[in-house]
Amino acid sequence: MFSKLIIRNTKRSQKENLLFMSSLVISIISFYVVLSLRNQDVIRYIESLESDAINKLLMMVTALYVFTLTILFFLIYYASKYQIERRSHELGVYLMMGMKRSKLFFMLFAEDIASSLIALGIGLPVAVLCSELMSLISVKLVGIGFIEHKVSLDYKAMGMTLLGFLIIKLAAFLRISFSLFRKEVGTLLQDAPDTVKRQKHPAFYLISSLTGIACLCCAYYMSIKGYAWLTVGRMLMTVCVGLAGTFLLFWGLRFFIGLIAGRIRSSGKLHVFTFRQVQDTVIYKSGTMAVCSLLILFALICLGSGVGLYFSYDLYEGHIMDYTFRCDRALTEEEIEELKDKGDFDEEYWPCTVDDVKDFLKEKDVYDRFSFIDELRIGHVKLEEDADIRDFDVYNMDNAMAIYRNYSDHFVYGDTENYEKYPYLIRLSDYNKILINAGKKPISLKENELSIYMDGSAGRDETIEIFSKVMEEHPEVKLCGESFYLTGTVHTESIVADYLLSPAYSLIVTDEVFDRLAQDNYVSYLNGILDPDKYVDGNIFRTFDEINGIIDASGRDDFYYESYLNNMGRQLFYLVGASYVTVYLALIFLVIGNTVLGVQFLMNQKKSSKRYKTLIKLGADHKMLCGTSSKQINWFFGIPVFVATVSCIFGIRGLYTGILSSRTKTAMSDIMQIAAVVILVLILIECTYIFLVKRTSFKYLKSLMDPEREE
Amino acid sequence: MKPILKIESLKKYYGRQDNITRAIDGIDLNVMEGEFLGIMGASGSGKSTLLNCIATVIKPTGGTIELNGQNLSKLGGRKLAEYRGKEIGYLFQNFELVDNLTGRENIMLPISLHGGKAASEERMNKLIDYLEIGQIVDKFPSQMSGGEKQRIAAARAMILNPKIILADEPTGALDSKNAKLLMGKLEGLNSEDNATILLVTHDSNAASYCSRILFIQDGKIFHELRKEKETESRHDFYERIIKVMAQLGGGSANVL
Repeated sequence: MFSKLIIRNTKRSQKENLLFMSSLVISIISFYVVLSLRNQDVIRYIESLESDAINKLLMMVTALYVFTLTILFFLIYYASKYQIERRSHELGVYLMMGMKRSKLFFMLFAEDIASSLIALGIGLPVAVLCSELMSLISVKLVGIGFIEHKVSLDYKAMGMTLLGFLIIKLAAFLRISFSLFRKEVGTLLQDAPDTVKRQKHPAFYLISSLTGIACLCCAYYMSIKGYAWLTVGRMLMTVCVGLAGTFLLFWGLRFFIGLIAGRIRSSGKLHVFTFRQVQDTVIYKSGTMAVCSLLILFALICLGSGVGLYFSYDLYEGHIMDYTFRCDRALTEEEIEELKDKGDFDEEYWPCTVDDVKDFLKEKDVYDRFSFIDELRIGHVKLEEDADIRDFDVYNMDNAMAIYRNYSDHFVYGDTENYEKYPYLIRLSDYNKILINAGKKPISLKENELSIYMDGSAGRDETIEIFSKVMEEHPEVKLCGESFYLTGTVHTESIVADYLLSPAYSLIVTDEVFDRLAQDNYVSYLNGILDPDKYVDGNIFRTFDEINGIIDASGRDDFYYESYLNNMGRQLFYLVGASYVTVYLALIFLVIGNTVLGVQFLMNQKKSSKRYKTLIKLGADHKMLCGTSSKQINWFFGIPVFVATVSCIFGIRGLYTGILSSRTKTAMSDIMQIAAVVILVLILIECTYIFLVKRTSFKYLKSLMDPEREE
Repeated sequence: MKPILKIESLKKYYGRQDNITRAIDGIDLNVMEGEFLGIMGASGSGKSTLLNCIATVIKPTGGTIELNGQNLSKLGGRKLAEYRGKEIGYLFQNFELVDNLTGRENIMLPISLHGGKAASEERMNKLIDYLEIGQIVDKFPSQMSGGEKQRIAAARAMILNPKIILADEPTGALDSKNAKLLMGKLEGLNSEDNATILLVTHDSNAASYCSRILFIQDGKIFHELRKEKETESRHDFYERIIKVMAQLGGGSANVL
């Protein structure tokens, strides 16, 4: 009898409260997806290239798991709380009929276990499917045909999912049971008592909402103008102003809703009632609405930046060199002798010259597979032996910096030290060869002219743009006391296969100046471009794979090399890491925000059941009740989502102005694409939630009618 | 006068063949237009079931109920909702005001549910004046006394000018002063506005405002009292009600 009751109650819970079951299933999927990240094909591939980076990412997964555990606890807690509260009368009846509290606890616990098992039964296969689907999609999107998809079951992730899910389920159950069993039987049997929250003078709410709007506008302005990104302090201040603005706005919103409700004279079905209900919700749940709005805002920003990062990475284009070998320059006989005398010379391994590397490549039949292979020299001004760099004013660009400051009072990236003291020098003829290979016009410099090279990596857009303007004015700079004039524009073409080898800031100087100033103080890079006619199976990545295999198998460690594949692997890591984490967090935030909203609405509806019963007694039919409930749900979800969406527009715009500015190089069309994706996902998720909440609400209203009236 | 409500052989049974409860067991009843009819009886006698059948809250097992010539058992869907909203006004013991609506908004609720905005403002103002609720009509129920709440509820029941007002123990939650005030107002609505009122009550005092009283016992009409309009005072009528109640064995608390 008792077990039958448990089974029947579990079945009913599943049937009647879709939101509860969905929350459980979502939690399981979230856990498995984050825990099985290691088994994703793309991650596995990147691990083979960048195991350190992946290990760091996977360490983050643990943190993400704990974070997910915490946040999903609230999801399950709220969903379970609603589930129990809607049954409070029934539980009160059990107690009235003489059931012991311990037995009731056992019954609820057994029901909880049963619903957990059902959720696991549904959730785990769906989670595995989702994980496989994500793996497959990411392979198709970024795998370019050489990463293969392998179906895999991660038993460890399954175990951890099971453990995490059961822990938070148990914690939520115990928390709810504790408060449930402290209630008197009479309280359980009663409908929720009428509570009236004391209201302040409407002027308070008006001032609050206006202050909230002002704070939000201030945060938006700081964000899109880039002030928020100047220092950590300003960033925190922007976030705090935005948070305060959101809470104040929601707290004061009751003024406007009250104003609208008081002025409605429509004869439409239950307009006033609907608005009073919305007003009630805003009064009693303004904090929850603000938190949910912020969660949805975080979700949208994460989603926007995740999708933006994905769109913005250009993995396969924009590079010139396929390989870069870092060699040491060829030493003169005297230098070798000198080193031998010092005991620093190892004949077998050092020094490795450009010619040594070329010989090695020829020996391995790799040399002929390059259509271009040549030396690039990057050096520094040679100082006297034992000289301390701090004693010399090697490079002085005060004039240029004075012009720079006319345009901007700050560097978006880096500090002035990097630009003023001891810059790298690049030999003009070497750089021109790269430009020719990139299909660009070579630069021509006079003896007293310099040009600037900056690598185009993250955060330098504004600096590069301003430096280009500065150079248009041909300012005079001093290099080792000699006068030079900056000319041309800032060059950003990648000079090596992997941007990690590239200097952030260099001066391009004529060969004569390079030889005179750097002398032998330089490093040689051997750059190579693979011949497309000699690609393995016509695929550059397979060619990389093969050549890397040959070089690695040789065991030579006297030179260092990077192929573009390594660069791409690193970028792929950032792309996958950043977009996985951001999109994952976005979905989690979105799910939590919406579930809390949904559960709060349903709990509120239950608390106001007396009002609905009055409407029923006054002749309202189910359709009318559903109509008003539907409108209330639209408002209840609509207000936080609207505020979040407005904030998100400025938030994402702010991100692209600030930390993502140069990484994304975002054109308006790209932003529109990103916005379209974000809006589509938002609409899809909101519609799903609104549908689920409406369905549950309509069922509840039907249940209110049933005992009252026999149709 | 023609009957506005006509009930014939009304039955409402609960349970199955071997265990039937006959809540109403063959009631015949006519309520005349403009009549103030009281229904009294002990708890479980079937008086509330009768009211619920008329309000179409529950379906009778047998018999017919006709309001203004319209057979209620044949109504369904939209027409049934319209009947509930427009043809009857309901006055509840516990007021059933929606707590987050002002008095005015509560009064307007039937209009919001069933339409009929035309002339509603004029009607509401008239009811506000008559029921003396002008001072409280823009307050929320939590700011009103029981009597004020019930007068707001009375205005709500009357706003659509229904054919009949069904009042289920409307004085049950009121003190004697407010009960007297309310019944006086209902009596006035009946005499001045020609409102037809069907009052279910335990309270002999409240019942004494009626022009006719039916006593129900075990689902059947047991006795009928009619007030002599011209000659009988409310006090005398009250005395006669008490005697019947004493015979019924119920309502002694009220008698004393």
